[in-house]
Amino acid sequence: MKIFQKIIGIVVFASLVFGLYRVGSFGYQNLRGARSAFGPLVKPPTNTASTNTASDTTGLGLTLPAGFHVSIFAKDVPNARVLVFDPTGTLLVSEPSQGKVVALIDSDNDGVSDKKAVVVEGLNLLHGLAFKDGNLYVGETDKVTKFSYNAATHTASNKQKLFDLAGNGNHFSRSIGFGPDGKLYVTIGSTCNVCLEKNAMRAAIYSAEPDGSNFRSFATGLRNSPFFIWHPTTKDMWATEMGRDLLGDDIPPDEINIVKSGSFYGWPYCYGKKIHDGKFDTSQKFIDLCNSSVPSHIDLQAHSAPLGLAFIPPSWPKEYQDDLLVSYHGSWNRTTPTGYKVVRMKLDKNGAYEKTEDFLTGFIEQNGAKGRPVDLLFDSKGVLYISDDKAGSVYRMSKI
Amino acid sequence: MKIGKVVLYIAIVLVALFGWRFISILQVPDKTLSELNSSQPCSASVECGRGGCNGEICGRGGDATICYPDPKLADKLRGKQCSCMQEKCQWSKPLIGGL
Repeated sequence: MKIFQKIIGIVVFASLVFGLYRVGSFGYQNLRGARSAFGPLVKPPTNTASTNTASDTTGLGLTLPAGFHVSIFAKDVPNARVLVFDPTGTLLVSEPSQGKVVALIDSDNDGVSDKKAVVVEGLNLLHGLAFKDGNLYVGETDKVTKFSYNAATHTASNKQKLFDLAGNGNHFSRSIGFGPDGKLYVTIGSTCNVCLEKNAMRAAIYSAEPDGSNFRSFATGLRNSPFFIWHPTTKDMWATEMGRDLLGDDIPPDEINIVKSGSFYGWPYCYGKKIHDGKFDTSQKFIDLCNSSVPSHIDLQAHSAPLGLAFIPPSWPKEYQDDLLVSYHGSWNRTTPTGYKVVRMKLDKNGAYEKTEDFLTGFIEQNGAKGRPVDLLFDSKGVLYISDDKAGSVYRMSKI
Repeated sequence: MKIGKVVLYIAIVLVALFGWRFISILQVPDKTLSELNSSQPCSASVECGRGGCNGEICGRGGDATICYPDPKLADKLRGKQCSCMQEKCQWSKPLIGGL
């Protein structure tokens, strides 16, 4: 009888401990990237696009809105990342893995690049590209450099270092761009997933004069904001930001921030709209720092990996006006992959967020990704160019 | 006496439930690390961000230079970090921040 009671006791106790174990293991699984108990922060957008009058000749089987055509502008462009037009309208692309800037020349203006020219090579993990007064500016991982550019030959020469950047650790990309104020801006990501940086230069955006002088901090607390753009009406900087890893499938959100001078955006203490990251540290000091931060403007589905962004130009249909396109490079450790597409964010004329819809999808299928969209760039006629660093292509999307 | 038995029962149950996990976390087989470190070189840091560091996946933005272990190896490699800035992947450093 006593043995029977003991067995019952052990079973009851084991059940209790197992229950506690399951509760505890939720957090453990969540850390490993398994599905969280919380639903997506952003409801997956409904694809309202109809392919009835859309045209895709990329061979990827992409889905796009009615009234548009997408094609391959250039292929065999390994690791295609940042796009920029030179002063004569030729498209240039950075190839970080190749250390090159390449011009994609469309000699007969038929919408397909028929010639490539190496503008400059031997660069150290370059990423960002920009033009100012006919000169080519390049963001290398450890510095920003300026070249004299010859638009006739598509070559760059007379390399001049403007300033050094911290070049070690994680997140090598250094994106650059000139603001409405004529200043040069450069983004520098964190060295780590989440940590207290020893070098204050990391996880921030800096500004400088075009000659490299007056280099100073513009905004901080930005884990990795690899792309930014300027709102056509407000002239504010809008930047994508990738949230920290290893908190699960649906947290933290990736972000779009409106970045203003002197502001602090929360990393590593918090994410999204001032949500304290209790997995990093729970001290009151950090909570106070979180509370002092500027919240995100738009929260995106965790792991989307937002990169390039572009405001719709006036030449596009009326229903697209004021809206923003954002490329989602795609997740790496989410249980169910997300991203791998270009989305349209409906905004009002001042940039207030309304909703997100799919715009260009189909880069991923059951067997894996066929492509990963990176940068978005409109030309003066409203044609959209999209770089893809997985497929090594640049796509051209136009109205039919 | 009774307390001693209760403690014994608790110990048995805890070992039964969690023992395997402690073992799997703490035991990083030399063979696994050796295999990883002797695999083909990581050709460039950007390759790390594109799955080139022995096939590990290394972040989502395409500009990562630090690898995290494939989830299938997560238990074995917990607390380790693969750096693709070197010529070869080296699973040695503690994982920064993440866990």
